[in-house]
Amino acid sequence: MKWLCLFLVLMLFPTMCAQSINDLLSNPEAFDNQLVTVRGEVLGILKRGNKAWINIQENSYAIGVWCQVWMLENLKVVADYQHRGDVVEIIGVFHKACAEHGGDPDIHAENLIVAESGCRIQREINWWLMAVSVFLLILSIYLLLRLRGHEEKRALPYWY
Amino acid sequence: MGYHLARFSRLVSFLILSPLVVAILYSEFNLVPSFLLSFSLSSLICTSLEYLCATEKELELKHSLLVAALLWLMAPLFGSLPLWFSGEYESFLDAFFESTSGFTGTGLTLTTCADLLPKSINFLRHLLQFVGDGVGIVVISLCIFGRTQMGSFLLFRGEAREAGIRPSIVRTSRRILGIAVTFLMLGTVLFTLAGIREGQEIKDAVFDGLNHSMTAYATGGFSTHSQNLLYYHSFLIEVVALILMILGSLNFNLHYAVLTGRRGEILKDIEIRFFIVSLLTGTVLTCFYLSHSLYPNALATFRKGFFQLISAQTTTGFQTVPASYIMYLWPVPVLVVLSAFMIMGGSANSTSGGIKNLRMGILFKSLLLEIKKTFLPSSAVVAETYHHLGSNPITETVTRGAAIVVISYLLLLSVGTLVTVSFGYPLEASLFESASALANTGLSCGITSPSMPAALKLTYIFLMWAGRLEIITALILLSYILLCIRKVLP
Repeated sequence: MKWLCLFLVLMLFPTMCAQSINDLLSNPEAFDNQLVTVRGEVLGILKRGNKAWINIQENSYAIGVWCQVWMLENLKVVADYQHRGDVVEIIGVFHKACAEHGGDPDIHAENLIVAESGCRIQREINWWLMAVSVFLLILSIYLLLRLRGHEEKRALPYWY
Repeated sequence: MGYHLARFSRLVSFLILSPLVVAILYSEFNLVPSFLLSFSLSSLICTSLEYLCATEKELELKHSLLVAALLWLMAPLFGSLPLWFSGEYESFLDAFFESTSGFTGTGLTLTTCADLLPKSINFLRHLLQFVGDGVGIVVISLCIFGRTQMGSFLLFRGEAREAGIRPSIVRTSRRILGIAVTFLMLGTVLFTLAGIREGQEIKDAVFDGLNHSMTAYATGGFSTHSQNLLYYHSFLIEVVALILMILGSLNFNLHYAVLTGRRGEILKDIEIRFFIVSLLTGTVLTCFYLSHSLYPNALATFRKGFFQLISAQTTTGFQTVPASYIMYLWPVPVLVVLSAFMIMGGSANSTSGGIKNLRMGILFKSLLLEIKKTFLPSSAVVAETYHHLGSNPITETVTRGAAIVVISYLLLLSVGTLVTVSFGYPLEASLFESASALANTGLSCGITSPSMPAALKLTYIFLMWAGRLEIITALILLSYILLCIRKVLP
């Protein structure tokens, strides 16, 4: 029972103490050079040798995380319009203006776990809307051609 | 007017159809109806206007200016259709705001996360900036239809473009388009190579490269990432952006002069001289004030300060610091300096917004002339000239023209700041955001967001529109509307 409690505390600790990215960026003085835990959806990965940047987002606030490439092994899905990205939980040191990275605000990751796996988002085609738009397209082209024909008959000058 | 308005607006209806190709390439088939519907509706409006308002009369000066002002409302209206139909914006007003920001080359955005937008919608946002601010709707129309008459010349001026590269207005338009496409290709290659080097996959690097190249040259500032260029954490990407932003902010005439072998123009031109002097002053001021704040060393201070300053002066709006840092951590004097640089803007007849270096240079020279006159006998005749594609005298007419534009900008800036402050935002942040909207810059300290009040969104839409038309054209339309109301009322 004791081990189970300890296991649960260790598992839930990062979630309980997680700072929001908005907190870090709007009050960076309070968290500068502190060990923080953040959680966010992966927006992009930029590999630089044996290190990498991953940009994560939470509630429309995003931040770059500087980590080792091996930490990315379990990352499978990067977010875009057609995919919900992996949600990662990162424990690392926050820098309000990192001296190593030209003054960028960043987190140097010490641990990274995939909290939720990403997936593909199904986007359905609205066939009713498609039919209406095709009908209007044909109508607009027909009327445009009629207008041009009409103009040619009247020999209206094109001044430009 | 309706006939001519429709003829030029038709280009926009074809423009909003073009991201259909991107939607198909990236399998975003659910967005196909959005583009078809937008094209059809805008085309039907144009056809109806052309039919109902058909005329053989040529445009007069006042009508040309009115058509230019209306065209810059009609184009964002058409551009907002696919954005709204895509369902990525909370309201039609948000889509209209985004479209206006695109066409005017501002770069303020109401997207919650640009990274998660469909590729086709992202492409459209960047294309709007390239066409609207990078080249100009009238310029492209003239390139396609290619007829030179007085009306087209006046419309060209109404769009805040100068004639003069070539004797014919159509040839001038083609030169402008040629210069823009050349820099677009150059920028795409540079951004793509830099992106690949900094760890992007090739397909993402190409897509980002094309889009950022369009907005960097157009001094627009939209990005495919919600962190803007901070996403890359890359000095190399910042250098490429700096080069394109500066190239975009230079006068088309100067580009042409250099391309045709007259390289001496660069050193003599009043705009370039003013740009260099003001840039040096601004860099010293920005770095001085920033050095007392959050950055760990001089290099980081210079890198952040200089990039944001160039972005402000060229009225681009690319950002490498979070908006909240500008609002809460950057010293107030830096915000004031950046606001002043945004309002001053880049060169005349370029993709930049703001008052323009030419007018600022003329006003400074006029000021010096006035001071010089006080030390000379009253019988002395003093003449001053400025070099801009040849030597030109500083006359009272030239000075008055520049002063009117400066006063108009300051007046609208005051109005924008007052409206923003009245919604409870701090004064310096209000000044910064209003200057950004009015000068078509796009740097943001976080005020611009989907949750901002609708009245403020409308105010910024007005500022962006008026700023793009260099205010006078916009004021003419407003005066015309007032006159019409006075005629109707008993």
